[in-house]
Amino acid sequence: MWFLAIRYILARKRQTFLILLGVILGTIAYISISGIMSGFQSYIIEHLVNNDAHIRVTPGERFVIERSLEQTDYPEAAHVFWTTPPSGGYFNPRISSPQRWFHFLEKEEDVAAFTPQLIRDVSLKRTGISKPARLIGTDILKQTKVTSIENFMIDGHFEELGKGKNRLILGAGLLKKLGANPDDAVFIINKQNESFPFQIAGVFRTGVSGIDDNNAFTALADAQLVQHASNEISDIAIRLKDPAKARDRASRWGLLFSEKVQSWDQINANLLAIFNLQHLIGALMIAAVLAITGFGIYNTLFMLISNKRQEIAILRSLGYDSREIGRLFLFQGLFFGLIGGLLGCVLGYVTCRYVQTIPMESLRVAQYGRLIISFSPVIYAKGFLVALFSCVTASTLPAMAAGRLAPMEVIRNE
Amino acid sequence: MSLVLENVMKSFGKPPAEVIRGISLAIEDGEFVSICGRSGSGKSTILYLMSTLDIPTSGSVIYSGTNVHSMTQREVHVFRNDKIGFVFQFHYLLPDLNVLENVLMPAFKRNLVRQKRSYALDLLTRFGLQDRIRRYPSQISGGERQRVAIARALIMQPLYLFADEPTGSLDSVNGDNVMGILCELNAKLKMTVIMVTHEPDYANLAGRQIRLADGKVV
Repeated sequence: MWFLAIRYILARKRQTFLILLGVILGTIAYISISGIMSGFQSYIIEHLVNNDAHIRVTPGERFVIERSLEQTDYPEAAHVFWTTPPSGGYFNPRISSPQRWFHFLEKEEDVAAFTPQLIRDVSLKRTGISKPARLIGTDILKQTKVTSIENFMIDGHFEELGKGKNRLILGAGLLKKLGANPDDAVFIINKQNESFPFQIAGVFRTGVSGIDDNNAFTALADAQLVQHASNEISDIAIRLKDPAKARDRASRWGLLFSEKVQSWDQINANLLAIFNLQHLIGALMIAAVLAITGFGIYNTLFMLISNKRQEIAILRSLGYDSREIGRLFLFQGLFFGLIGGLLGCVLGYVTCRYVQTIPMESLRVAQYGRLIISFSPVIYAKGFLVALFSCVTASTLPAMAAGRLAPMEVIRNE
Repeated sequence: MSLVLENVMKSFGKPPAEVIRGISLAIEDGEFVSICGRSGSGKSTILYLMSTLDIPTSGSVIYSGTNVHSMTQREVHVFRNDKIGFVFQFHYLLPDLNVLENVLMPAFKRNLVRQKRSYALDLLTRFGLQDRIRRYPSQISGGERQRVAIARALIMQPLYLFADEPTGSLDSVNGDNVMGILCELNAKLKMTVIMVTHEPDYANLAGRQIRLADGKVV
């Protein structure tokens, strides 16, 4: 029936063009939106995964609940009634037994690298400008193995932190806020309002404003000195050989130690939830576009059937059965899906390539001033299948209706 | 092969109105039968019941000892495609196909287009349409369309040709041409032709006449 289906399609050139245009635009929309969203998300995720630890160990948090006090203070009581139930919590500022962790992590096969860190909020001051910052004291060599910070250095090298005492590496946003330049001197002000002079040894830019505008790295020993916290660490940043195992390992290790252990996706759960919402909104938008196209096909085919009743009857008299008649209309939907989906994929690719050439300096997530777009074959395969599915689905009911048409009813009514 | 009808009845609507009231008859292979009668006598209905396009309310339609109702839908369609040709009062050509493609339409079902192409050209030449093969139905005359429809009915070389008032929409010259073709098919190819007509002159050309009145053979 392909032959006849194609002839029917070619006989209605304007309708065919409009339907194909709908399918093509729907597919282009799907590919472009998915490509931009996916490119943006993978860019952010890549930065989250590579710029920070896959797993972060922080001091344990313990919250007071009624039962915890009942067991310790009133172990013999059958029922304890509180006038005002206890509340609050205990937050340890440091990891109590880091050596146990170090021994454990050195033996773990999944661990690629780890580094102890002391992270505290401080103020950075330079010629009257004072800005809050997150000071990360870290083991310099281990830090470069845990994160890909070295790749994001736009001035100097991360290892230059180790070339002397009191050296700092700042995020590009923080540097700008301070109005400073590389090699300038800045003061770190701790909670006790004590000033410590540091020299800017390098600058990094990850593209994530939360990191670039706030973070400052220094050697662990220097951070401990500023905080009067010798031998103290507040975090252990861990890199795994396979980041996909992060959640599983974090959950498992959390049961073995009293510290809080979180994977990168748990730490950034809110952001990832926004991505899911973006996916949902994108999917709904595409579904709306393709549903409109589908209705176009549905209406066209139903109109075609009412115009072709006589021809359907004659085909039945020539020995074509109801399934073959149904196929005649299903093939038309298949044709629109195949050709529209294919052209949509090609034009979607061209559109994405074009969008990539548009300068977008104002976008902070743009890489080299251009939008990041994913060209994953999965997006194109999905775009093609969505177009095909909507077209075939839209033509199924008309095809069934055509198949059910009784030839004698048509012939008798002539 | 022979065609036998046993007490065939057909009713329509609610409450049922009987259109065919227990017709029994037999048609031998190679016969030319005309069915005539007044309007509403059931001529076309009995033709469609015989040709398997319609199903009787009761009774049997038997081809060479095989009851059509014992056949599966698929078998009925293949049988219709293979053994039966139809010519209707109106040509019922497919407007989006040219003359040659219309003639070959039954062959498309069985993927026999290549094998049947030369026979189609032969038929069209025989019917004086050799210079019309690339034209569309809208580009040829009414008489030519009906001849195309006959060529289409013959493309699978059927044993039975059912014609429902084949001259009904034609002028006398074209009507005579069509009747000439039907007579020739019956005489030369020994094709069984069963034709409904209300024109006595054309009915007389058949070897046997079946006259219907109020759904019965009279």
